[in-house]
Amino acid sequence: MFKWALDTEKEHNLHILKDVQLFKGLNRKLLRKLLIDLVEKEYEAGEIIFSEGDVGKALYVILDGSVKIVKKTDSGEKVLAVLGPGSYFGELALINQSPRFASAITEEKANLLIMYKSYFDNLIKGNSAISSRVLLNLVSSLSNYIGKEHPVDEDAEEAEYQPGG
Amino acid sequence: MQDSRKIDRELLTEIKRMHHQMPRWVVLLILIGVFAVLAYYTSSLLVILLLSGVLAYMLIAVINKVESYGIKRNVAVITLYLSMTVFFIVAEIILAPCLQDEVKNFYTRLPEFSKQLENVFSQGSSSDMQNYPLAEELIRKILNNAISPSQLLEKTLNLSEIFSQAASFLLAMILIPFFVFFILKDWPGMLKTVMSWIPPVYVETTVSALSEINILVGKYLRGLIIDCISIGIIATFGLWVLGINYPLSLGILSGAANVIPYLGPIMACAAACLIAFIQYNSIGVLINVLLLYTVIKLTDDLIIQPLTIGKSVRLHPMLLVITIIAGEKLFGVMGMILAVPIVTISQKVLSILFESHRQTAARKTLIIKDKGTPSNIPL
Repeated sequence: MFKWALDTEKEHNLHILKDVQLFKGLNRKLLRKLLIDLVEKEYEAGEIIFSEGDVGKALYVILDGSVKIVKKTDSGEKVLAVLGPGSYFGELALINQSPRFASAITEEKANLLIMYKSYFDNLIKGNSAISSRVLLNLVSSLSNYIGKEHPVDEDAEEAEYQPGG
Repeated sequence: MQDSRKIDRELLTEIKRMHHQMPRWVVLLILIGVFAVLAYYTSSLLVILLLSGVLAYMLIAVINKVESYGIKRNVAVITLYLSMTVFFIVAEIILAPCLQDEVKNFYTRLPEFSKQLENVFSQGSSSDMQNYPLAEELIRKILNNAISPSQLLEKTLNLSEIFSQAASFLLAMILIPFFVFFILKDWPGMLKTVMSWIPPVYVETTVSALSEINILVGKYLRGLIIDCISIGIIATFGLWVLGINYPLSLGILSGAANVIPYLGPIMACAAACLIAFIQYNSIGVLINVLLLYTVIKLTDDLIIQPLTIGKSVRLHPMLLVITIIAGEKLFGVMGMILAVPIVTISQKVLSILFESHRQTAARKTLIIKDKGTPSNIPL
C-alpha cells in the first residue's frame, strides 16, 4: 500500500460499508465521502442506542460489533434480530420522524456510523449520484414492509421487522 | 491534614446537596456567565481561536474532498499548506505592485489631501458646495462637531497604535496557521473523542445539532465569500468607471467590509466618498458614489444574497443590530464579523434543544396517559 493511501482503520470501515445493502452500487469515492462526512461513535456492550417509542432522527450503520433489536410485548421483551457489521437499522427515521418501532441495544462493544436526517436530505438535494442509488436501495428495503403494515397476530408483528443487512 | 480532608468532604457533600437543590437552568446560567466573563478577559485569544475555526472550517471541505480520493489526511493537509504558500507568493507578485502603488500614492499625498479637505470646509471655496447649501451645512456641522479632517487623517497614522496592532497582527499570523493546521489534521479524532463522551441518550440530539450547524455554517460561509468577491468586483469596476482614485484598494475594502452587515457597506461607502470628494471637490461626484453604493447594496440584497446565502441564515434586523453592537463592544471589529454566525448557530442549537426537549416531554405525557405508570418511561 502507498504511504499516502488511507490508513488501515479507514480501509476496514470502507470494506464494511461496501457491503451495506443501503449503499450498494456506490463507488469507492462516494463511500469514502460518506465515511468522512458521517459521525462515528463507539458504544459499550449493553448500551441503549434508542428506545422503542423515541422519535427517530437517525439511521445507524454497524461498522463493528453487534446490536440486538428488542420489542416489548405483553409476555416481556422479545429479540427480533441480532445485527452484525455491515447491517443498518433505523432507516424509517430518514423518511419521517416517526416513533421507533423497537429498541436497539448493543450486544457487545460496537462502532456505529450515524446518518442524521438533515444530512440525508442535504445529500439527496446536493448529490444526484449518491441520492438516486441510496433512495432506490431504501425503497427496495422498505418494500419489504408493504403488505405487513397491520400485523394481525404476534408472529406477523415479528415478521414485520426486517432490518437491512 | 485530617481536618482539611474532612472539610473537603463536607464541602463536596454541600456542593452535591446544592446541586440537587438547584434547577438545571440555574446551573446553565451560571456556566454561561462564567464563560462570558472568561471570554471577555481572553477576548483576543478567543478571536484568534474563532478565526482559526472559521478558516479551518472553510479548508476542511477541501481536505475532505482530497481524502475522498483515498489520500491520507496528513498528506492532504501538508499539500494544502504548500500549495497555499505558492498561491500567496504568486498573488503577492501579481497583485502587490498594483496595490502598493495605490497605497504609497495615498500616503505620500495624505498631507495634501487633508489640507485640501480643510480648505474646502473652512473657506467654502467649492462652487458646487454653494449649490447645495443644505448638504454643505450638514457636512460642515458633522465635521465641526466631530473632529477636524486633518486630525482625523493624522489619527490613523498614530505610530504607537500601529506598532501595537502590528504586534498582535504578527501573533495572529503565526498562531492562526498553527491552530488551523492541527484542527485540519486532527478533526476526525477530535470529533470521535467528543462523541465518546456523549451519553447514548443525547447522541441523536448532538448529531442533529452538528449536522444542522454544518449545513448552516457551510451555506453562510460559502455565500459570504461569493458575496464579498462579487461586491469587491462590482465596486472596483464602478469606481473605475466613475474615475475615482484607488479603485482597486477601495473595491477590496468594500468587499471585505461587506462581512459586517449594515455597518460594513456604510463604512466602505464613506471611505469612497471621502476619496472622491478630495479628488474632485464636488458634490456631484459624491452623489454618483452614493448612487453607486446604493445600487451595489440593492443588487446585493435583492440578487446576490438570495442566490448565495439564502434565507436560512437571516436574523431579525433588530437582533442583527444588537448582535453587531454587542460583538463590537466585546471583541472589536472581529466581534462584529463573527457575531452574526455565532448568534445564528446559537439560535439553531437552542431551537434543536427545545425541539428535542418538547418531543421528550410530549412522549412522557403520552406514556403516562397510556399506561399510567411513569416508572416505565424509557430514556
